[in-house]
Amino acid sequence: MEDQEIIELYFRRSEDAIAETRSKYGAYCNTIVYGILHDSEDSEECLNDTYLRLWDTIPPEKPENLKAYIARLVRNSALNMYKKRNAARRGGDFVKVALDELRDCVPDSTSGITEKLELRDLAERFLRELTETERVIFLRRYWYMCPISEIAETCGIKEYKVASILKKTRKLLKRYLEKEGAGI
Amino acid sequence: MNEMQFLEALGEISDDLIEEAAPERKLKHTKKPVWRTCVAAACMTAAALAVGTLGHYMYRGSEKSVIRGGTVMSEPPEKQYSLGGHYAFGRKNIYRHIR
Repeated sequence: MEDQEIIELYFRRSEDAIAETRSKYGAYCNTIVYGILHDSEDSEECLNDTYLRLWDTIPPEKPENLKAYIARLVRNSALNMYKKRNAARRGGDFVKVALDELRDCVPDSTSGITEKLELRDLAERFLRELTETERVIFLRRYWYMCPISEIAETCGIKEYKVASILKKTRKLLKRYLEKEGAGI
Repeated sequence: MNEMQFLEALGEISDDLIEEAAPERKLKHTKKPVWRTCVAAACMTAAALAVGTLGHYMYRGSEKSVIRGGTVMSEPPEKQYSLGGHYAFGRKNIYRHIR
């Protein structure tokens, strides 16, 4: 079913909307949420929360890109759950690894840029300056929280190359944020 | 601002970027082109042939240079030449005496 038809179902308040969403984007959402939480029960709970939020937000929202809209909801929901629960204790330390990697290139809380929107714009401008490969690898790591081995497999390149591209991109990010006045 | 805030802010980027990086999407241009594989195979074959040929000639060369008593023995007697063994006989060529 096309995205527009699914959105129509939400607008008509038909319960088929959730079933269709689950059937079309269930696996995609599961990849995102499991990449963050690494726990089947938590992932299931998080996915259910996401479907509920979709039901609550459409309407009035009418997303142009349903896939990205759901991905954003599910990721935010998973990150919130990660923060609430002790993820490390549950073995979901993939986010912790990603956070550790970003520690050296992201400014601390005393820096000038504290607004989420401002940081989002900066991040987006930075991403658009990268090559497609660099951007995709960076986002797969820090947006989808994919492990390096998985990124290497899906991109068709060696793991050491992925690690090297990520390292280079983090350096570029650090330099970019410093240049834009968000230095550490 | 800390790393978690950055991750959260990153979550708000545009739809096209999110979709572009979706894990199920394959990156086509990162795959090695076929011609590169062919060139690599051709180079490896050429290198293997070169090593084989060189090895063959070196082996044949070493067979010819077996020295017995200062003389190359694999050559026919009339072509045999001294490798300095005659110095032991007071600078005389021993083959002159043999003939």
